[in-house]
Amino acid sequence: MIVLMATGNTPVMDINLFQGMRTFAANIAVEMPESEVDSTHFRILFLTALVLFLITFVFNTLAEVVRHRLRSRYGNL
Amino acid sequence: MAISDPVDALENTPLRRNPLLLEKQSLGVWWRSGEPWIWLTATAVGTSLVAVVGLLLLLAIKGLAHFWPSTVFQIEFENEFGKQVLLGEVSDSETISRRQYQEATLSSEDGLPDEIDRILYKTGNRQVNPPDFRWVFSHQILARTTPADVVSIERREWGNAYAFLQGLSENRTPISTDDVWSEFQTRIKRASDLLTEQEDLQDTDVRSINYELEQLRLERRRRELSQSTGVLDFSDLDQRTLELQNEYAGVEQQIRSLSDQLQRDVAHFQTVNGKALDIHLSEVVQAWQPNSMSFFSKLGAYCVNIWNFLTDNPREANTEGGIFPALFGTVLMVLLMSVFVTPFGVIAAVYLREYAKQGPFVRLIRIAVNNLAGVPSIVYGVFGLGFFVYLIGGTLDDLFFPEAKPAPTFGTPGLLWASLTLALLTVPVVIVSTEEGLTRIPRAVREGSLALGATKAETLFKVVLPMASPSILTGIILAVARAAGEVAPLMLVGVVKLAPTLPVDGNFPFLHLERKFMHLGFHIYDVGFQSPNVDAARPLVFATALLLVLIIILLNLTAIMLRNRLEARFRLDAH
Repeated sequence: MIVLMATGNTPVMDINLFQGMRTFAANIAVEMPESEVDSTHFRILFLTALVLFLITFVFNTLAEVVRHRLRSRYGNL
Repeated sequence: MAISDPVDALENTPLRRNPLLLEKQSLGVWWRSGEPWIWLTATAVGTSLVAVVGLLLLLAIKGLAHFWPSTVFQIEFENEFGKQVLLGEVSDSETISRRQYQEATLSSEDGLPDEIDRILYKTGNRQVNPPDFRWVFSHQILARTTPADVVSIERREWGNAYAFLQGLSENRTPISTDDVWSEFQTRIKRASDLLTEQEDLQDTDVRSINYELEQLRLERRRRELSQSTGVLDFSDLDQRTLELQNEYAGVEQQIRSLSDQLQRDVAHFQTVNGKALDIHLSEVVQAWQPNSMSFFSKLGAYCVNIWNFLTDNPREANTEGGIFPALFGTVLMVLLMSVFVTPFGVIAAVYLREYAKQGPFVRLIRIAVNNLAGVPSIVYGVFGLGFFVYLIGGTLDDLFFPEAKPAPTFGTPGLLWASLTLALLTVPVVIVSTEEGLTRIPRAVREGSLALGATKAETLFKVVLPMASPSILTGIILAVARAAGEVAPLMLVGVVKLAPTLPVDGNFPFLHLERKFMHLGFHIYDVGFQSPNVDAARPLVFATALLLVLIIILLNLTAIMLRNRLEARFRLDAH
């Protein structure tokens, strides 16, 4: 919700930090309520959610693995 | 210890005789002692505290000032269009540079200062004299007075009005009275009483009649669907429908007569430009003369305004009026979410900690649970929409509500799905904290219980779970804090800008889980970003945000107090 309010939600973005941008999450939140059920748009948004989920899943799993490693290394001290 | 030791060591060295050297040395010592890092961490904590307090102050100042009956100024000013007069409250002020000014007004005046102040006045009177907010450059102001008899009128439509009261009329005949103001106030009271009566009729009688008629229609359709051949008997339904229609006609008659009575009084005003402004008293929420009010009467009006904000329905596309439906929806949704999440999370944690064989599989599940906590909330929203709303809701409709088709009953976003989605979002928090609570219970306690002859299940219910209850509550506190602030997933699974009815009402089954509802967080987003009248909506955004923060604090405090009591109780039991 923060990104939805604070990023400007411009669908076209460039490398400039001071220009608007749009994130996956904001894109889904903005477009999902107005997409027709089972249309291509709707499915693409679900795909977006899946991609977003996979990205966070990979990073979370990495973090969890690192946590376990650190714990087993320093837990014995 | 670590800080003082090197300094003590210095005391007896020759360095002490050379102050310059000592200073240099001691700076190094200070650096090595690690004290800068203490300062750094303390600064970080201080900054966070300042940020939190500053946030609350900003919200409070910007939001709460709106409800104060502020002074209405009469401004005479002269700009490129000539001399003008306006009447309004100060809403905002800012300083702009000369260049900005020249670009904005295309003027080529000489002798302008480098910086120019401009003031935003809320002038109201939107239907006779738009727009209702105007910027005035302070150097163009010729005179600024505060006329004592100016009336500020809060209306149900068209926003506020600022004008001078000229007189009243009843059924188009002027009323002659000595004290126009008190007569005006009595008649406002009468009109608002009538209006309340009318709204009550609409909200309770009309709504329940309509609800029952809809139920009858569904019953008829149900019978049609269940019996494909033969003659159907609808006589009982028809009779009831007729009764209800008669009842409805009676209520409609009452409402009509109330509206006729409401049309009786009109107040005549004159705007500052000399235009006549007639206002039906049925449109007036309240009216006051802010320039001649004392501090305490202003304070009274302030409290009334805040109370109205908390208890009224929104008006004018959410930019005015209250936020009660949103407040109600938020609290109800959070409570329902807690009801769903607690058993689910606790049972999962108990299985993981007490029954499951600790091994790679359980470790995998733990990783998955932690992962679940890190998934962006919008993904839960999409999941809720696809799984709960369309799959489960759609199936429920097919199985149990075929008579309502094609209109969906549960196959559309609603309160139940929103609560379930949020429960799913917060379940990892409850699992993790319950597990921690279960781990902390000493082995001896369990073994003691088992040794006394209790089974494992009895030990769990009578000993382990009560002792873990503070941790469970901690989990719920965290879950509530997270859920109450979540908006993005709710947009997909049940929150709307304006819900026609509350999810709780007097019609069986009283709690309507399939209904859509309003939510404070979404209300803020809607009013702040999608409102047609930004200037009017801005203070409400801040006030609503403050209220949301306060609600979350209140919910948390309640849970924390409950937890502390439980903790105290079980600490006593343990000894």
